[in-house]
Amino acid sequence: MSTLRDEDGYVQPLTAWLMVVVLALMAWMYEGGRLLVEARHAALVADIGARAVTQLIDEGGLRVDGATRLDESEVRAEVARYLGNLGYQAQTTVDVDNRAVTVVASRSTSAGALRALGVGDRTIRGSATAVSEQGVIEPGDR
Amino acid sequence: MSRWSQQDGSAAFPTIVAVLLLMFGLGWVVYMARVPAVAGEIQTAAATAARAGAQASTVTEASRLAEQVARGHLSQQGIPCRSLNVDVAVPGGGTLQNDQPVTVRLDCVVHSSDITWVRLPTRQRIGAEFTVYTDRYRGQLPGG
Repeated sequence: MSTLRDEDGYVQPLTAWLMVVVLALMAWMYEGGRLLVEARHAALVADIGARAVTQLIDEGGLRVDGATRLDESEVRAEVARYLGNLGYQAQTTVDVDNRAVTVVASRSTSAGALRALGVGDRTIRGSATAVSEQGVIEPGDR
Repeated sequence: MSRWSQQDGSAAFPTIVAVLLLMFGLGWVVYMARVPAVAGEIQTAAATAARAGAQASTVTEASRLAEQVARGHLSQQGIPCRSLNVDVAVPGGGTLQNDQPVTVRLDCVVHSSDITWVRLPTRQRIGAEFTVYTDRYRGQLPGG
């Protein structure tokens, strides 16, 4: 059998196959990009949720002895309320030793066009930590 | 004339079409990879603007601050918006109250050639929205 006969009709299937690959790649890029943007949104929400905790610091106690006092259950409730208003679930960790509050914001999102490739709904997470400090803090102090 | 000689060169045309389609598709892939990066920066600009707006005492001041901060952020990050619309929404309007949502909506129109080397005949409107609540205690002590 000659080489020419072997390659009869080779280009059209190759073109069709390449187009399918490119279309799948485009869908993956589009949805992947959307998920990245959502992840950044979640990180920003976690950031403002963590900052909101500063509203709960006992100002009187801070002025008296400089200690940062937080009611852990109040912190969790406030962060949950704040993030709930923005459509997120909150997971809050209070690190007493390091005077830090870490907030993880999460919510479920559809995989969009990737569902055609068997990808299910995704949970988007973003986290941020707020640390209580006094005085002027230079980069690298912690 | 044999069957083979009649089909001489018939593969050239579909091959050229295939290569062009593939290049166009890859151009789209590059473009679509760049769009989320731009959208992420616009998202961050919206969040920064909302945070700035939530520090204001009136809706007018919040709008001014939010627009200033959003334009500054996008300019710093080199996001070339051909047109940028900043919309600040506060329920009730007037004076900002404690624990009140300030929502900033940004709409930025970019051309493909501004964000990638790919010159596609397209421009895209990328929007982002972010809400920040004003402080619970503004100018008063907790419980005051």
